[in-house]
Amino acid sequence: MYGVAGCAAARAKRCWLDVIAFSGVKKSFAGAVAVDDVTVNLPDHALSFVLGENGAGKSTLLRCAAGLLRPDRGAVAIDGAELTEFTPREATRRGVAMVEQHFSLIGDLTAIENVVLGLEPSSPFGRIDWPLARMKAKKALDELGFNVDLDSRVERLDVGDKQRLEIARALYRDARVIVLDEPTAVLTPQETTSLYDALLTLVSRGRSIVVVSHKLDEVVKYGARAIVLRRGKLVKEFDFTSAPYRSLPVGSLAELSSAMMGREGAATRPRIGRTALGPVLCLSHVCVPPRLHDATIEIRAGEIVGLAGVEGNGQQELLEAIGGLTKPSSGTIAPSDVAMVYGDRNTEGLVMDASVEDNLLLGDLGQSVVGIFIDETDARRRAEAIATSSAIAPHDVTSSVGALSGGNQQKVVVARALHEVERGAKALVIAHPTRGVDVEAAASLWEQIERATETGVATLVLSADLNELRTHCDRIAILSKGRIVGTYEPTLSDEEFGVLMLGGGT
Amino acid sequence: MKAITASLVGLCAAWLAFNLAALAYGESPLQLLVILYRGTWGTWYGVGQVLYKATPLMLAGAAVAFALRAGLFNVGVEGQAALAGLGSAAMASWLMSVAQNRFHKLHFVAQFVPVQWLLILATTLTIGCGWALIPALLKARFGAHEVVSTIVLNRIADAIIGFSLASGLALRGTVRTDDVGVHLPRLSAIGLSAFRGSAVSVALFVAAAIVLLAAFVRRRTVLGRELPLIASGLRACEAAGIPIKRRIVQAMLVSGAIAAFVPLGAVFGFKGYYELGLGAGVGFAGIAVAILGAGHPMGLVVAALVLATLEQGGLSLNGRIPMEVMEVLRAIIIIVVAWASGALKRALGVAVPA
Repeated sequence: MYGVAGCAAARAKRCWLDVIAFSGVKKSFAGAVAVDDVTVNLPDHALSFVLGENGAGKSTLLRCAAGLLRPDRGAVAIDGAELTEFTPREATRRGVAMVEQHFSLIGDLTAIENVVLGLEPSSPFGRIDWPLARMKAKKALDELGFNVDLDSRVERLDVGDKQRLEIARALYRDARVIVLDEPTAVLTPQETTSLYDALLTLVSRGRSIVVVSHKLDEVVKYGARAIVLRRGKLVKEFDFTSAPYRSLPVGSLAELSSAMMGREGAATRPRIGRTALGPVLCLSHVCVPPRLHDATIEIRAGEIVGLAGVEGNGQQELLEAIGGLTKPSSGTIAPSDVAMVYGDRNTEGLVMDASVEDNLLLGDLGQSVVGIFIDETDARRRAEAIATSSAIAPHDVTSSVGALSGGNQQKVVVARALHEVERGAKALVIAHPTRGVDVEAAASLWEQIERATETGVATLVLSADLNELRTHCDRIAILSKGRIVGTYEPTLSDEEFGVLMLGGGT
Repeated sequence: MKAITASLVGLCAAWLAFNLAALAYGESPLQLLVILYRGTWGTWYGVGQVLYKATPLMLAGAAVAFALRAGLFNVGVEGQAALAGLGSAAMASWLMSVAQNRFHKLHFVAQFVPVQWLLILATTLTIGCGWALIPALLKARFGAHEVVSTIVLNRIADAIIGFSLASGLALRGTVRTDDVGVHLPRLSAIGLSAFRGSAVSVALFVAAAIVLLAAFVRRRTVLGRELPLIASGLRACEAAGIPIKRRIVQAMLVSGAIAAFVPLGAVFGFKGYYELGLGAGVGFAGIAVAILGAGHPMGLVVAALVLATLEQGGLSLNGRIPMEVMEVLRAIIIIVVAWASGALKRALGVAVPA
């Protein structure tokens, strides 16, 4: 397979020069330290990985190099020269480009418009020189081995193509080093392989790639160098190049895992067989344009059903339909009071500027009302009770929710939904329960979800993380191209799931 | 704390501008300051005038501030206040004529003062809320931006007022309504004789009470607590089941209700009638008060006093520097406070896009 040969070739090169050098970098947000005194170098002409659990500081560190953040202390050097201005424009000038997890493409514009956005070649009177733009864009796409109709609207492209377009944007800007933040979170196993093929091609042509990830199998398969961060600090560096050139210890999956988590991998609890009762949450041929065509599924009381599928297949439409935010154009959903946790907690789950108390009681203030006035002590008491039972730290419910760690923020959103369950909601739907959440918080969240399910709630969990679904769900349904194609035992392999997610039959 | 810093920066900028203006007109800033003081806080009459001018300002500020908390810009305070002023004056003078007309069937009831005040109150609130309801519904139903709709409605209100006065609401040959009959007593009349000659009336206390009431509603009702959440996290509130459209309409109604009381001091406390052009510019002054007051009831009152001092002081200084300079200072305050609030956010570490 090309991938393997290419990566061996890439690994054979010597990694002498460092393309990005971090020195004593420190960055905090509202008092919480995200990156704590990190000094590390990323090699040139190589595919490097920056690893760590969610919240370890990986994205923050690389965003300093990409001009998106200014470190509180320390220095970042690109190709040996220190970065003085931390702006995207300066970073582009120095050859650093970052492809973020949530794409920054503009759906209404065409592919060519997105590629050249911000750096359009201009003809003498200030008009855009489209022929020149097209030529340069084509060059970038060719280098990537990517064929796309430059005039197609970006919102019509599928996720894999959008991602490649983002990379093409970086190449168009002559990026020397391209940083990708969690690129495979939204890809099927097959799309992941072809992405890495493309990335290795770029490396063989002289560029450097840095991938921020927490997926260990990809590191071992494709990486030349890996650095591991944990809680903002550099923990270990691994080198996968061939023996004569290796300067650091090579890593195995187990070693990477224990470096990332600080202990010998999380022991998976044997799943206690749950007895499911009658159906509670029933969806029948739900259709929500543009992306959800036919969703039919029954979830019984006392069971956790996982819904696997990568973003863009109708998940958002499905969530909004169940939650009552969007009316389906056809089909039925019962019941109507479902406790919801949406996928994007920053915009759909929390009001970031508000306090923990405000967020815990969001939409539920009516419970603490006497006449038409709010009983403040009662509201405070309720919020504190919820916070304590969900182990949310810190205990001060008046602090701003934006200051909490990702794990605790997610606890707030989930706690609110579980509270709804306590007060009578019979079904619980959670999207991406552990996205951006550290290991301990994730375990705590799942414990709470399982406990709630055991009291007779029908739980549906949407996630792109197959391992997570396998560990906790009684059965796993697949959402592919707007349809729920079936439910399966959690014992299927990654490849089998991958095929199903792409729409192929079993 | 952050909000107050921005306000202080605004005041410093105003102080700087004042000095520059003084020097530009060949005057000594300190001398002007003394004259300003003597015309405002230096005499009881001056204090009274400042308080009189602060009365509509604090109400306009409270009206704007309440809607602003929900992210809504009620620029229609001007129209809401003017219509409510005309309407309440018309209702009051009609009641007066009924009370004096022995042959009218409501003659007896209309003489009862509490009944008069009740009807005046009802008219005021109905008109204020009603005029604010229009942009509220336009926003909730069609997403129409309230800045555009309220400004247009201000102009429509002007036209309605002009038309009504010309069609008979005004005394023949004038542009004012008939006497309102009931009055809010001047402060000089209720024992505070130091304020003799000044226009300030008990409307000042009514205004302060309304400002406190608005603050109470903000803190202790579901509406008040949910508005800032809607402003900063619309989608999350929607997802959590908060009725966004209903809250928007409610916020505008409350704002309109507060705005309706703006002309109270002038119509019922000083002039005794409504006159065309009364309170012109109070809407924009209210925005300045709301921004300067940084959302706190005490801040609103202080901001109203500051701007009223400038307004009254402008009169005393008129011989030396034109009183329009005070309006310029007011504009500078708005601009600088707005800039300072944004600048503070940037300085706290969020990256600035290139």
